[in-house]
Amino acid sequence: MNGASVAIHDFWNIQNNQAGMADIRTPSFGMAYESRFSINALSLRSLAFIMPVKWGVTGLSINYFGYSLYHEMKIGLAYARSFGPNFRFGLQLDYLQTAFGEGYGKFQNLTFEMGVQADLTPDLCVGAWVFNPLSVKLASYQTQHFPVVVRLGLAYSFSDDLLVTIESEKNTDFNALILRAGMEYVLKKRFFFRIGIGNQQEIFSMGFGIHWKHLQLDLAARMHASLGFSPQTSLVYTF
Amino acid sequence: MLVLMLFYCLPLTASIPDSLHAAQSDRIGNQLENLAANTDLNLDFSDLTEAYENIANHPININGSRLKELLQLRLLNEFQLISIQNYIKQNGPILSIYELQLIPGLEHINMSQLIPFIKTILPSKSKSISWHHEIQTGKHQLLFRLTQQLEKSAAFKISPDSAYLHPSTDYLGPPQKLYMRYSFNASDRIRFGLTSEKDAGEVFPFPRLGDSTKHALGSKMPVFPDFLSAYAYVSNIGILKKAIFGDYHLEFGQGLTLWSGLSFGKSAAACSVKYFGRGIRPNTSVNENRFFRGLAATFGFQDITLTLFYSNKKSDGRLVPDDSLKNKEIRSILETGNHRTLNENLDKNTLNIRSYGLHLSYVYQQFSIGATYYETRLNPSLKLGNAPYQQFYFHGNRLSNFGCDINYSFQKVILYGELASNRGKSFSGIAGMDAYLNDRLRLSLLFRNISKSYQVLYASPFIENSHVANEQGIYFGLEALLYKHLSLSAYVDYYSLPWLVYRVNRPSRGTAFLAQLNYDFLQKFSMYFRFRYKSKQENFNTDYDYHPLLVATNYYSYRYSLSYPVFDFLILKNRLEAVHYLKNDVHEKGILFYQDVLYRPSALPIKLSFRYALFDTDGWPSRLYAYENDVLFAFSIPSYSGKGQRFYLLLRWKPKKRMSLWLRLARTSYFDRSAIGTGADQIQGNHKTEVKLQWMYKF
Repeated sequence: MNGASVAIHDFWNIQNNQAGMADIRTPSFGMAYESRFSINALSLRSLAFIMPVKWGVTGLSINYFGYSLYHEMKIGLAYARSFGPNFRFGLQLDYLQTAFGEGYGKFQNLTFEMGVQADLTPDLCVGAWVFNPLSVKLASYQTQHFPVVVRLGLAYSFSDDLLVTIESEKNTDFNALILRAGMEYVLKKRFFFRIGIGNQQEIFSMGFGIHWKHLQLDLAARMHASLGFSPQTSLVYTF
Repeated sequence: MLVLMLFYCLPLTASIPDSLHAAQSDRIGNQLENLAANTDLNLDFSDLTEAYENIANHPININGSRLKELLQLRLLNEFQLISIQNYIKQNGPILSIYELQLIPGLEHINMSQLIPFIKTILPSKSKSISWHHEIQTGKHQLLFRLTQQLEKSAAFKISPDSAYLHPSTDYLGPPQKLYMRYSFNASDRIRFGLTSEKDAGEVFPFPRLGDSTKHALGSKMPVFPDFLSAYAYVSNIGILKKAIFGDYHLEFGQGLTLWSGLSFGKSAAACSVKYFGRGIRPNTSVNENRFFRGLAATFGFQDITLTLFYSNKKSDGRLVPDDSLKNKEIRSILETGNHRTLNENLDKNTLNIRSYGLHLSYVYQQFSIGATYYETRLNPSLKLGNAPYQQFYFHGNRLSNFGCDINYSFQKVILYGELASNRGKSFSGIAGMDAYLNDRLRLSLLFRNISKSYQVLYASPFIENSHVANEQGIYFGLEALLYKHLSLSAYVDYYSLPWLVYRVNRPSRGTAFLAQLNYDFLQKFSMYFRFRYKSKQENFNTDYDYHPLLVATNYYSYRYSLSYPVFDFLILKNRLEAVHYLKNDVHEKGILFYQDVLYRPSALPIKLSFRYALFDTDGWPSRLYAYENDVLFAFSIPSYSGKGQRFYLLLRWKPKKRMSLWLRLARTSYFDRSAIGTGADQIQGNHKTEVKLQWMYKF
C-alpha cells in the first residue's frame, strides 16, 4: 500500500507504528527483503520477532541497509499495549549504527520512536507516529542529524474485505510533505491485493499477499518517480 | 468517448424532467470544460446530443439487445449492466422499470435519470418489418439557427477586393453564421439526415467578389453552403446489423487504433475512463475534417461481428513544394473548418484521404476480443513538420494500422486493453482495470505506453499529449460513497513524455490530480468542492535555446459550486472558482464567480436561463472555463481571462407542440481593455455580444 501503514495493524507495524502490534495475540516471526531501485547495494534486509506477554506485546527488530562500504543498521526493542478497546500505544528503543567506507569508521547512536492508534468508530482508525523526536546527531563533533520523521494517517474499513488508508509524512531531511494512500482487498480471507499511490518519491505501488495456515507471504513493487522500481518481499510465520 | 449523461446539459429538451438539470448539468459541463481547456479548436459536440436525443425518442428495451447502448452513453456502468443481465437470466424478463431498483448494484441508482431512456417490453421474436409502415410512422425534425456577433471585427471589410489585398486576414463573406439540420428516424431502423453550415465570414450564395479575388480563387471559388454532410442509415436486416452510406464515424476498442469521434479524457467522473466504442455511427456534427465519407457496414453472425468500411474524403491543408521542389506536399491538416479568407479557401479540400479496413470481433460470454486493420492513402503526401519534436511524426502517403482489443469481466473486476502498431513496429498499448470492490467504492486503473514513433491519423485514446504518440502513464481513479449524501471522487495521473514535444525540448514529466467532494440531497440540493492540480514541464528560456532547461508549471484550481431550488419553477446556481498558476517566477491568480437563474414556469410554454459572471485573472495562463446553457445542439464553453463581466439570457418558447423557438443573447464586457482580440478578429470597444436564434419543427 505504498507504505501507508501508520493507522493499520499487522505484523510489520513493528517497523511502521509500534502501537499497531498491541493486539497481536500469538508469537510471530518475520523477515523481509527490499531491493531499492533494483540495485543490490541498496537493499534493505529486515528480521523481526514479536512476543505477546502478560503486560503487553514485546518485539525485536533488526534492519540492515547497504553493503560493505556503506551500511546503516537499526536494532529496535519494542513494547506496545492497548488501553481499553479503542486506544493503543507503542514505544521502541533504537540502536543505530552507520558505517562509512574503509577508515571513516562507524557511528553508533541511541534514539527512540513511538506511536499511538485510536479507533474513532469500529471502521475508522487514526494513527500517529514519530521517529527520533530528539533529533540525535550522527556524532558529537558532527553537524549532521538523523532526521525526525512524523507520520499521521487514517484507515477506514469499507467492509471486512476492503481497507483504505491515507497518511502524510514529514521528514526533516526532505522539504515537501509526503502524502500516500493505499487500498487492500481480501479475497476469500486468504488472497490479498494491494495498491498504493503517493505524491512524492514513490508514486505508485502494487502488491499481492497470500495467507496459508501459519505462513504469510507478500510480494510488492514500488515505483519511484524517477528511479524506477523497488521490488520487496516478506515472509511471516505465526506460531 | 461519450460524456456522462450529456443529455441533461440540454436545458430545453422536452423529454427530460426539469428537476434533473440542476444536479446534472454540472457534471457534463465539467467534462466539456476540461476538453475546452485542452484544445484551441472550436469543436462541435452535437454528435453527443444526437445520441441522447435518439435514445430518448426510441427508448431502449431493458429486456432487449440494445442494453449496451446505455453503457455507451454512461447511463449505467458496466457492473450494473452485468447485474441486470444476470438478473434477467435468473428471474426472467423485467416487467416494470421500478423492478430495477431490486437488482444488486442498482440500489443507489438515480431512477429519474434512467426513465427517459428505457422501457420494458417482453422480448419479441424478430418480426419482418414493413418498410412502408416504418417510413410512414417515422419522425422528421428540421432545425435552423442563425448566430451573429454584433460587433464587427476588423476582418469584415466592405470593399469587395480587400480579401485580395489581405489574403490571410480579410473575410470574403458576411458575419452571419447559419446552421441547418434535418433528420428522419423510423424506429431507429431507418434514419437519414443532413447537416449544413456556413461559418461567420464564409460566403453567401452568389458572392459579389472583385475580379482579382475571383481570379486568385480560380477553381476554388467558394460555394454556399460551405459545409454539407449527409448520411443514410439502416439497421437489423438479417445479418446486416448496421450500414451507413454517407458521412460516418468509427469507434473501436480503446481508441488507440481507430476512433474518429471525440474523446474527453480526465474528469470528476474518475472511474469512467474506459471507452465504449459504438462501432459505426452517423456523423451529424460540423467538425469538418473529423469523419469518414463513404460506405460502412456491420455484419453479425452469432458471436462474430464484422465491420467493413471504405472512405474517400477531402481535407484541408496547406500545399507547399516538397524537398525535391517537383511535387507538392501537405505540412499540416487544418482542423478548424473555417473558409473565410482567400487563403483558407485555397487550402480547402487539398488533401485526399482514402481509408479502408475492417474490424472483426468475437464474444464468448464475458470475454471479447477484436482486431482492427485499416489502410490510409493520402494524396498528395503529408509531412508533418521538420522540428526535432516532429522527428517521428508521419511522413508519406501510405499508412497501415493494426490493433487488437480485449475485454474480460468476472464478477467485480473488468480487465480491458488494446495493443496497436504500424506494420509490426512502434508497438503501443493501453491496459486498464475497473473494480467494483464494494457497494460504496469503485476503482479504476489505467496504464498506457504509446511509442514515440507510433503513427495514426484516426485515434483518440486516453492520453495527455495532444499528439497520439510518445507517452507513458499510470492513472488511478476512485469513486466512493463516504456517507449518506456525501461522495468523493478523485484521480491521480502520472505520465512521462519520453521524447520532445512542442515547446518542451527535453523528455518531460507531468502530474494531474483531482479530488471532489459532493453533497447531494434528494437530487435537488447539491454542492461540491473541487481541488484540481496540474503540473508539467516546459522550456525555461526561449524555444531556440540549444541547451534547454525545463521548468515546472503548476496550476491549482479550487472550486465551490452550489445548486438549489427556491421553488419548483426557480433554480439558483452559484460557482466560485479561484486558480493559481506558477511557473518559476511567474505568479498568476484568477477568480470567477457566477450566478445562474433557471426559471421554468409550469403554466407557460417558456423556459428561461440567465447567468451573470464576474471574472478577474492576471493573464491567459490563469484563465478559467465555464460551461453555459445553450440552444439545442449548440455548445458554449467560453474562456474567461482579463477583468470583466459576462451575462447570457436564453429563452425557449414552445408555441405549438411541434415547434420550438430559441433566443440567446450573450455579452462579455471587459474593464481592462478598449479593444478585444488581436489581428483580424479584433473588435474596437470593450464588449462582445452574440445573438442566436433557432427554430425547430418536428413532424
